[in-house]
Amino acid sequence: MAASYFDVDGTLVQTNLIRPTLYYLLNQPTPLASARKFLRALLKAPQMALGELQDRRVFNEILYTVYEGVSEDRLLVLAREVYERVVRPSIFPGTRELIAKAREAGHQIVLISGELECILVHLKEELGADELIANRIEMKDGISTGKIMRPVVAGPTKAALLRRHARAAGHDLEECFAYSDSFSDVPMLSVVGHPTAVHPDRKLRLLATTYGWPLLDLERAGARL
Amino acid sequence: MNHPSVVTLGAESAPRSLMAGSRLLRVKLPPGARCIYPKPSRAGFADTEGLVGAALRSPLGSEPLRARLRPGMKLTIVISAPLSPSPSPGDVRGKMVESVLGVARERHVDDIEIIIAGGVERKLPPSLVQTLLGARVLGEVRRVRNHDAEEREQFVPCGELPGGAPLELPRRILESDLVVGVSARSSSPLCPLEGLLRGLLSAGAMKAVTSAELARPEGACDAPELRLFPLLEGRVPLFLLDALVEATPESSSLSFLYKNEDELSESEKRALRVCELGSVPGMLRRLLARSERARVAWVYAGDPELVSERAVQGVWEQVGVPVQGQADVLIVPVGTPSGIGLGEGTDPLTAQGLGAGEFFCRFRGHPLLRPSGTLILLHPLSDRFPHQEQTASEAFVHELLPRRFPLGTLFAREKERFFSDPALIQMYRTGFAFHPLHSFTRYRASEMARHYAGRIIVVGADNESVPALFGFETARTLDEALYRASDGLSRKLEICCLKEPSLLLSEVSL
Repeated sequence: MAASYFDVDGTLVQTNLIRPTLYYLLNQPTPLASARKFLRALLKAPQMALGELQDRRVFNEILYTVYEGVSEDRLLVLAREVYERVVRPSIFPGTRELIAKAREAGHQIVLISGELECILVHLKEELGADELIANRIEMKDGISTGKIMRPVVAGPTKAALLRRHARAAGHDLEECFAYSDSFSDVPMLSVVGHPTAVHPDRKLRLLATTYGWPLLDLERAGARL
Repeated sequence: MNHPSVVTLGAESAPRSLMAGSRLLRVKLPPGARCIYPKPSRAGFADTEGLVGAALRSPLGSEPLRARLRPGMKLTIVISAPLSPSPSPGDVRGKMVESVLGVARERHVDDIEIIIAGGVERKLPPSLVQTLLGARVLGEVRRVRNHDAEEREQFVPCGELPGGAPLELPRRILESDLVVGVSARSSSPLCPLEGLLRGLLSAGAMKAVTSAELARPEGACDAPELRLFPLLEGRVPLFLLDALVEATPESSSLSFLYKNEDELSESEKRALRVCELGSVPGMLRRLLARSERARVAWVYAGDPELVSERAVQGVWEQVGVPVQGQADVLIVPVGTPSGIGLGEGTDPLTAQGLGAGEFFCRFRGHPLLRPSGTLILLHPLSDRFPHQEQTASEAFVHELLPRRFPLGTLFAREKERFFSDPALIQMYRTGFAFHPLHSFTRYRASEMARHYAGRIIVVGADNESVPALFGFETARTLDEALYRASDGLSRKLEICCLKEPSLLLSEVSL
C-alpha cells in the first residue's frame, strides 16, 4: 500500500499560517488584549520575515510565540472557530476530488503541515484523511508557553517525518505521492517517487517543470469547460 | 505503369526535401528509388452551408434531420477527434454544428448540449473551442463541455465489453433523444463512428477496451480494432455527419512542399531553399497555415454505419495512391509544414506513434514495406515534452519504457498504478494535460511496425537514448541508414519514400 502526503496551507486550502493566527489575535477576551497582542506580533514581523528567509522552522517558532499565555481550553474552542470561519471556506474546489482519486488508488491519506494540530484535526475529519502530522503547542499547567513541541514540522524536518511515517506504516517511498505548493517543501517532495506541485510558487514551478513533476491547479476544478 | 503520384527517380533527379520535425532535410536518393507524392485533392466547394444543408435533407439510410427532431426533445451534439481545429477561419465542424442548430431552432428544440469528445486526449482550452465552434455556436448553446473520462458520476453502463467489463458512456448521451455526431477528415482512414464512441468512453471502459485488444494473439496488432457500436445494441439514437475536406488545397501557400522537386518553378525552388535554411519557425508555420483555405469536397450524413463506410471510402478516393510492389526500405518523414496539431506536439512519443504507427499503417492490401524490411523515420526525437500537456508521456518514456516489459505485461502491471496515477489524472481533469492512458495508446500505435519491420532506423535524431527506449537504431545520415539496410542483401535495394505521409494512403498490390 502507498500513501499520499499532502501539505495543507496553499496546497489543499487557500490559507497560510498567518491567517488563523491573526484570527486568534483579533479574538482575545477583550479588545484591549487583542490590540496589545496584535501590536506585539507586529513588532515581531521583521524578525519573522528574516526567519522565513533563513528557515521556515524559525518563522514557525516566532509566529507561534503569540500563543503564549493562552489557556488550553480557549485554544481548543478558538481552533474550532478558526476552522469553521477561516480554513473551511478556503478549501480549494478540487481538493476533495484529488483526495477521492488518491483513495480510489488505494492510498493512505496523510496531511502534513506546519499549521497547528488542534485546527487541522477538523480538516482531517472533513476530508476523511487517515493521519495528521502537524505542529503542537507546548502546554504547562493548562497554559500555552508559545513554544512548538519538537520536532517542528517544517522544511527538511517534514521529509524526515514523512520517511519515518512511511517506514512505520510499511509504505514503499517509491510508490508514495507528495503534494505541496512551496519551494520550502522540496525535501519532502524529493523523498517520494511521485512528487507533485500544486499551485507552486515561482521557484517550485521552475523546479517542477525542469524535473517533469506534475503541476496541479485545484482552484480550476469547479470551472472546467 | 506507375500512378502519376509515384515517381521513380533517375540519376539526374533533384534531391528530395523531406520534413524531419520542424526542419526540411535535403536528401539525395539513389536512382531507382520511388517517391510517393500526395495526389491532387478532389476540388472542394465554396458553399459549405449548402453542402451540409443538402446532406441533412437527404441523409443516407435515415430520415432527414428535420424529421428526427421534435419540440421538447434532448439533443446532444458530439464533436469527435482529431480535436485540433483547422486553422482556416471557421473550422468546418463549426459550420456543420451551425447548420444542425438551425434545424433544431426551426423544430423548437431547446435542450441542446455540445460535448467535445476527446476521450483520453487533452481537453481543448477555451481559445481552441472558440476556433473550433465559432462565436455564433458558442453564443447560442450555453452547455458546451469537454468530455471528462474520469468523471465517474456521469457514466452509465450500457453494454458489456469482452471480458465482462461494462461499456460506459455519459448519462447525457444515453438520455438524449438524438445524438448528432460531427466529424471531419481530409486523409484519415479511421472509422468516424468508432472514433466518436471511443472519445466518449469512461477511463475504466477505455482500459477494458485496451485490455481486450491486447489479449489478441502476439503479432496480430494489425487486426481490426474492437468495434463498439454493435455492443450498444441500438441504445444510442445516433445521426452522423462527416465532412471530407480537401487534403491539398490548390490555393495553399505551401503547395510547393508537396510537389515533385523536379517540377518546381524557379520561384518555388527559391522558396524551398529558404525553408531548407533552418527550422520553419512555429509562428511562420501557423501564419502560413492560417492562410490556407481548405474547402469541403463532400458531406455525408445519416445512419452512422453507412456514413462511416462512405466517409472512409471517400478518403481513399481522395488520397489513396495505387502502388505496385513492396520495398526493402520505407522512408517516412515525420512532421508537417503546416500541421497545427503535429507541429505543436511532436514530442518523441507522439512522433514515433505517427511515423512508425499511424503513417506506417496507412495502407490497404499489403504494407508498403516488405516483411523484415527497414523502416527509416526522419525526426529529431528530442527528449523534450511540453510540460503542461505531456507530463504523463515524459514519465511513461523515462520510467516505464526502460523496464522493457512486453506491451501486454506493461499494461497489466501499470493499469492500476501509472494509468490511475491521481496526480496525472488530476492534471488531465483540471488542466490541459493528456491522460496517462494516452501515452500508452501512442506507444502502442507503433507496435505493428516493431513486430513487422526488421529494423527501424531514425535519421536526424539529436540523441540516441530516446530512440533506443523505443527499440529504434539511429543513423547520422540517410546514406548511413541505407548502407545498414543493404546489409545482407545480395540484390539492389528497393527504396520507397513518402513525401508527405499525413496526406496520402497507399493501396499496395504485389
